[in-house]
Amino acid sequence: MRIDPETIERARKGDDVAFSAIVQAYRKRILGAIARIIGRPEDVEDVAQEVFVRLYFSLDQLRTPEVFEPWLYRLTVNAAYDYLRKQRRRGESRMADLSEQQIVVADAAASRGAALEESRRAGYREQVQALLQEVSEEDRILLILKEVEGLSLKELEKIYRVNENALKVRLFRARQRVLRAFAKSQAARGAGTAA
Amino acid sequence: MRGPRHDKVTDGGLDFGAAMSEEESLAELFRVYREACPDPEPSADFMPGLWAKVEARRRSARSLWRWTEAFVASAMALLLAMAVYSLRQADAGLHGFSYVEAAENDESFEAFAYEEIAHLEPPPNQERQ
Repeated sequence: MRIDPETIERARKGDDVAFSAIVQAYRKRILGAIARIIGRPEDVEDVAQEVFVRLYFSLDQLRTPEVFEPWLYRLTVNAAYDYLRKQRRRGESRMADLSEQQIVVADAAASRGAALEESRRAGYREQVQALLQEVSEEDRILLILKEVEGLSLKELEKIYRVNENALKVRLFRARQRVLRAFAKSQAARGAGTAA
Repeated sequence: MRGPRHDKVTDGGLDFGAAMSEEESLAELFRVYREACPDPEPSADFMPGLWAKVEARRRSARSLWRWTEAFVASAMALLLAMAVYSLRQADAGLHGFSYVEAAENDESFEAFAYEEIAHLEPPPNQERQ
């Protein structure tokens, strides 16, 4: 826990200073999780702000400070999911935009002499996000929380409010789908190199 | 904790060796992804922007609440007015006229009375005989 239960309790009772302290303690972590889930750096702050706005208005429903972190992650998952759903409705091509933005970032980095490092990172991001496109938005978020954010099954159980076995099955299926896509991309890469 | 596998990177992509199992490859893939996407620093506008959004939502909630209150108050006033009006109408129907006034206004009663008289009077030619 990054914040003491008393601060959470004060925030729950409407203390804005305590709420600010919570935001400052968690914002970087939430920004990171959202960045890795949605993959669009320009929208990360907006989604993170939405998470904290939802937290502000729902904090009085929190039963005990002990469940605060799963609660916050639950709000994060919901906000990220809402964002992805809106994007899908708009029919925007996420990967195309991302690549364009990564090119801009890589170009900017080139002038600072860090082009190689940034282009390597951009390549990783693009490859992993392309693989994650193979699973549904729900499974993508679940997979990122487990494999990238490093949350345990117990923590995920509290966030999703489903039992561990159901989560294991869902994770296994999502992982299998990503693995198949990964094997395909490796084969394509091999064929490209051979040609 | 294993270090990044830069030797296996080709064209900005990931290339895991055959020695790694699929599960290991995937775990490595996610670990590299985590490294490639560090937690971003919040901008200076993050907190002011957040409070502006909280205030905007509070305002819209307050305005919605005011509209709801106004709507409920108008509905109650209308209901009350309709109740008073229908009570008055009912009062007027039952107690507005005395019995005599009601009888005077009732044309059917008058017609019935004339009809009775017409039946009682004998025809004029029968009288002469």
